[in-house]
Amino acid sequence: MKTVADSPRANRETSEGSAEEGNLSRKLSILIAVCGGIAGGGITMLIRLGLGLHFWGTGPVLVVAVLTGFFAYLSASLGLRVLLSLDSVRGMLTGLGGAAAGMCATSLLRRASGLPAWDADPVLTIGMLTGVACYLVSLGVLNDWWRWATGAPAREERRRPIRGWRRYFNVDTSHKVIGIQYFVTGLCFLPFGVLLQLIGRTHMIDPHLGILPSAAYESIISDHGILMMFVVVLPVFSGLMNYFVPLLIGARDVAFPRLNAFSFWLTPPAGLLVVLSLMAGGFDTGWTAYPPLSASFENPGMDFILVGVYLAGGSSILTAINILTTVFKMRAPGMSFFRMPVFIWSSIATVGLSLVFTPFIAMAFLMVLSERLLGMGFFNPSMGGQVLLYQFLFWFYSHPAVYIFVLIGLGLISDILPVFSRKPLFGYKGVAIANPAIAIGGTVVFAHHMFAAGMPAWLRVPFMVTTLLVAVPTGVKVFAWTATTWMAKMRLQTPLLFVFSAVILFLVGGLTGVPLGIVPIDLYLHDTYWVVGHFHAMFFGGFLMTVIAAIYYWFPKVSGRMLSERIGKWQWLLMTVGMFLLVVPMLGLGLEGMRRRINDYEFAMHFQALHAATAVGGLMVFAGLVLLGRNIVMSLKRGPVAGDNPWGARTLEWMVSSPPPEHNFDEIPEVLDRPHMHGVAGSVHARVGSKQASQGEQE
Amino acid sequence: MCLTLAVVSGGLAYLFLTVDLIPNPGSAERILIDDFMRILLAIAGVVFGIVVTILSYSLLFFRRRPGDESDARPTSGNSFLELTWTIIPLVVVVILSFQGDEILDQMMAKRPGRGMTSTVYSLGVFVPGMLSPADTSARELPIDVTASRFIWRFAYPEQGIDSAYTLVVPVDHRVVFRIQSQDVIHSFWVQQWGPKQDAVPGLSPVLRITPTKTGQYAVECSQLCGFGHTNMTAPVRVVSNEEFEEWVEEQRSAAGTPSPPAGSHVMIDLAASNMAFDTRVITVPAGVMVMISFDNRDKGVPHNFAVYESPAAQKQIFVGRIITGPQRISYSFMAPTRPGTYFFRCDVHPTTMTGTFVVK
Repeated sequence: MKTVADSPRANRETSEGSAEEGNLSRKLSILIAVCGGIAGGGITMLIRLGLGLHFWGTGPVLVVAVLTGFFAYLSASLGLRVLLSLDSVRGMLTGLGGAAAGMCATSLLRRASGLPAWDADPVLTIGMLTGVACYLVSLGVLNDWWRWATGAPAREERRRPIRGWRRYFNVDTSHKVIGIQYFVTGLCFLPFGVLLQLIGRTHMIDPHLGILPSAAYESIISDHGILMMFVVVLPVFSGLMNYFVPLLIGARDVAFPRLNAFSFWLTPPAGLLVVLSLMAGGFDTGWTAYPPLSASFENPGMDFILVGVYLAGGSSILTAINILTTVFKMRAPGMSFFRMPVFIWSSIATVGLSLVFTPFIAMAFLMVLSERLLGMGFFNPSMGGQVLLYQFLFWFYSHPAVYIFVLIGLGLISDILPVFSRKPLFGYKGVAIANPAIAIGGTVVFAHHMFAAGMPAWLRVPFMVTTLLVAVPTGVKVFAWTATTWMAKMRLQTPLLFVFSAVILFLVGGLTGVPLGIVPIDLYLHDTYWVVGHFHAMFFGGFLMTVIAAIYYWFPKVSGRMLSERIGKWQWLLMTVGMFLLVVPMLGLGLEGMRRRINDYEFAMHFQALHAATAVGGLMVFAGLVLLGRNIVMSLKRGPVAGDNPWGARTLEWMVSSPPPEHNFDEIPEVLDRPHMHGVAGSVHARVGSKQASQGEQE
Repeated sequence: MCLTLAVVSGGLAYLFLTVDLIPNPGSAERILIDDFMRILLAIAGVVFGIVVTILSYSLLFFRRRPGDESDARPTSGNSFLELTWTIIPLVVVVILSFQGDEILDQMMAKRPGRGMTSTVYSLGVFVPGMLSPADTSARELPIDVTASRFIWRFAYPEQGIDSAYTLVVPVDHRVVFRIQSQDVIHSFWVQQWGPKQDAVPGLSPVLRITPTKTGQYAVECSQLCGFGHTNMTAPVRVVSNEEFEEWVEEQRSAAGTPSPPAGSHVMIDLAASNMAFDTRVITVPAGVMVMISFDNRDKGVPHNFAVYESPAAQKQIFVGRIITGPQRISYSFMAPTRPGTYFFRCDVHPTTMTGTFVVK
């Protein structure tokens, strides 16, 4: 069966010619790359001189040089024609051109109206918006809608179907391709986010060494936060949902494939803007961007974040529409709600939250942007505004957001654990219902981020009660997982090991959140490192560990090959120890009273030791990610071939080949029972026609 | 198994109940916080102990034997167990939130006249190292706190002191801080005193503290407020009643007019035009509050004022906000206490706009 969604690198060798020619062209490509890089760096220096800045700025010059060099390398090795035929490249170049054009137009308009031609905030912001608009048009992701709007017939298929790795750099409506695009985009930004924090952690070991100019520290950690949340976690989870929701419910694709493609292509510019913010002076407000500071913060770095998060949020709203419709309308016959894998329950809870609440952060950010650009006074008391309004709007989204960031991970645990325990999930119904319960409960707890903020004192108490109540369904999940392992036949393979670490880290996160939910305790712990330790434990347990478990679990399905267990186990050990080394000292620092978001501290010995421990932990996590990257790259070519169902699991995606065919299922299966019913005599999750589904033979 | 569970959970609970995890309690409010924190961490320890013990046990002893491809016994539910682990946490969190509310009321003096009692103390559990709670005093001492970037200013309305830059309070006396901000959100926090309160422009929230230990502390700003946030601190002294009265007398006689006591601050006008500062040397006395009225006259050009230890600009003394002209801004910072020659510059034009900052 010809499978088109194969490994991105499969067809690369054929287009590069024979080995000997390849070598020569590679050397030439590298030479061109270096020349291109130098040219790019030189042009940046000239532009900086023209703008009146010092000609050398390490960040901008090096980044531009690397990017132009990389682009030159690609042009040389692939050929400019091939490169420009890719939608993404064309879109990006047009986007850059559009941004420049927008900036020029704005400057000219300003000059014509008698204002000074250059004011960073409006010129750059308009540039961003025109750039993104041109990028989207040039990508071709709006084409079909344009055709419908103008009455022309829309095409169902591309004129010339693209095969191989190029699919991933073009606009493609297949949910599997989009899933991989989202996932890889998120994973590509992950090392950058970790690197940002490594720089910060190293600085904090001895702030007087001057590794970082102190003014840069807050920008670096703020960008780390925004990047990780909106440009790593959101795309990675969207990727997992896009790839596996249709497979797990027995559908052939999502409900709105074109909308799906559009929502993906919003993500790369969002990531780019968040990264570019650092080059525009950063933003010194923390990821929470409270006004009046964010509204008056001089550097335009703030605007990049506001627009970038807007795009990422838009992407997640559109994904939500897709996933909800798909799950409610396109499940296989026989798949009632209580026969869905918990991953699907988590997905709909997550996207439900996305759909309803993301507009609030959009609104909050739009109001800050209006204050910055148009002089409006939403949060300015002297103009009749209210400072706290922002916090209410912001946290109304940002609290459900943290459930968006972990619920899917918890769903992954619930679906991976039974496979490696050879037992059904204990208390499946409770765990399934816990998902919407946490989602709904999580909508009324948001002001626990504002206990010290100055809102009416009595208002804090109901939020304390709701915050503690929402711990109950989360506890149900943790206890259910624990009971699943009791009397099981555990297989200590890498996915299980990561699930195990995830549960423990998540438990630490949850338990350290309880003191934060109690108002008087929070008044001490708020804005200290305890909070930082708490949410990193949540993110590690609920996102990073679970995603890596999912990678080891589902890589065979997506690529047809197994990842190396040996590297996996070492990676697991490294990352688990690293994460604990990162989280526990932070909790300690918080108890000691160290404030967060500061770039210096009194030279008390044990503070320094704790900071050093977190830096070592961070380094270990980074090393683990490097190992993961190596494992993936190595196994794509040389990993052992996986069959249809190497783990012997009992959900629908394992009933098809690895990788799945373009249309997923030859024949939509009929679902007969819950997933993961190992050991229950005669139980079968689904069958196709008259054939019984595989009972889970390990191959 | 049960024994292991009891030992691990009990051990963790005991650990959290006895060890002083939050250092340096210095107020009656801290006792409430510390005690309740002990209980919360003890409960957390029990839960953590139970879950981790069972998980570890499973991982060690419920492994499949090599070659065994069969499934495990499919226990997939137990209504009693599931109900238990839903109801018990529910009851526990409800109790915790009621207790949290009780403590909050005490801290906010919702029940005046009633002494503050701490959770653990009133449970009759002896925990070594605890302080005895202070009684509520008859009258509260009001102090106005004004936060701006990046200094704290204190006023004592009842004592007639309009501006002080050191916070001096009498021990064992309830203080009511009325907290305001002049620009962005800051947060008033003394670690040893426990709770913090954000300073929000347009609002005047109140924080009540009863310091119980004399000593030197510091107010630390706890809400990111810009480049100077890290060092936005003010010295705090908790002194005896007599010392406090003496200090008040001192402040009142030195003041006379509603401005800060003379000699403790110095005001300087500085302008930037045509890509240069209008002065190359600034001289200030050591250890005073320096207030710079900075006028950026270059249209569309960003400038700032920053002071460093030396021209290498590695160790900063003060970094002011960058403003794009034409605009004015006021910077405030403490001059170094060590006399010497320092270095100031514009961070945007670090090679062309420089000068010497002399501390006498």
